[in-house]
Amino acid sequence: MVIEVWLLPSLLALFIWGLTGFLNKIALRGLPPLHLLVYGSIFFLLSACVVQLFYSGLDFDPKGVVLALGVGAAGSVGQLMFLIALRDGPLTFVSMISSLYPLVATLLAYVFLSEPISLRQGAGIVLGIASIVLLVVARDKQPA
Amino acid sequence: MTSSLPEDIPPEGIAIQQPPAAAPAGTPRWLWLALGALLAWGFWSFLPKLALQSMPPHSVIFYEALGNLLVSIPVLIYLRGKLMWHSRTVPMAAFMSGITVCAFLMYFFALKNGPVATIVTLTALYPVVVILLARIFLKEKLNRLQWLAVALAVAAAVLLAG
Repeated sequence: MVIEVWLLPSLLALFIWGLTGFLNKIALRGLPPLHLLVYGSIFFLLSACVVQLFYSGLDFDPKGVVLALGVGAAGSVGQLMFLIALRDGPLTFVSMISSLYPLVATLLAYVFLSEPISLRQGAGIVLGIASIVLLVVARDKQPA
Repeated sequence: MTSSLPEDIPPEGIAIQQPPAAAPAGTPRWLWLALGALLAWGFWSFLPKLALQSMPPHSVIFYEALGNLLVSIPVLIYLRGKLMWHSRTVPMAAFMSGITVCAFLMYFFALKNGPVATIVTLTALYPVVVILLARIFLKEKLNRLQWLAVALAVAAAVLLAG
């Protein structure tokens, strides 16, 4: 059995993001979302600076820099909305709905990278939308 | 960016409040916000693939951190430069940021060497970890219909990995 080189790092990232998703809920007990967002950005930048110590230098490519800045801005906007939603809504539902972002990424990959959407992926998109609708319908029946 | 913030957020920040006794009619605000996060994170997960075509992961992470400031600085101005301090939460935020940078290094390495849709979808399954932790530590429960929705979401993610 051949294990793809990207699989293990993906699984580790999956676990860490799950852990931080849970810790965010705990952290919101101590600080409001906006304050948490600013602290997160400051510490993220400091951590990113520490990472640079292990590499020879910082690369600069104008197009890449603009794209990377866009990554950070989009991530922060998403995080801001997520934190506020998490404050008002149930952890599980907010996490599940926001986790369906692969629907958007798949469409972007199709448009900009010409990655084809297979029948299987199309079924995944339909199921994803169905799960969002079901989460909305089921919200009133959530146990206390 | 402040224009994108909800109008009822006071400059000094948001206090954690108890939920209202009766839920207001119509779609709750948290649902719209969660859908907004879904859209923003769609771009957030896809754009690194393009950025990694011209720069290595460690450089992309640094500029991503600067990109975060594009949103945080206006937020800080909105808060009039006053950040609340909480002796337990602030170190927790530092810890979360540290391990998040580690996660990004691994995620970018994976993106550079594999297909976008598969990797994005696989890492998007993180709510399963959240659910397990929430059940263990917060005693959160789901009814059958909600479990079905969770199962559909997981099935969707698996199918998208195609």
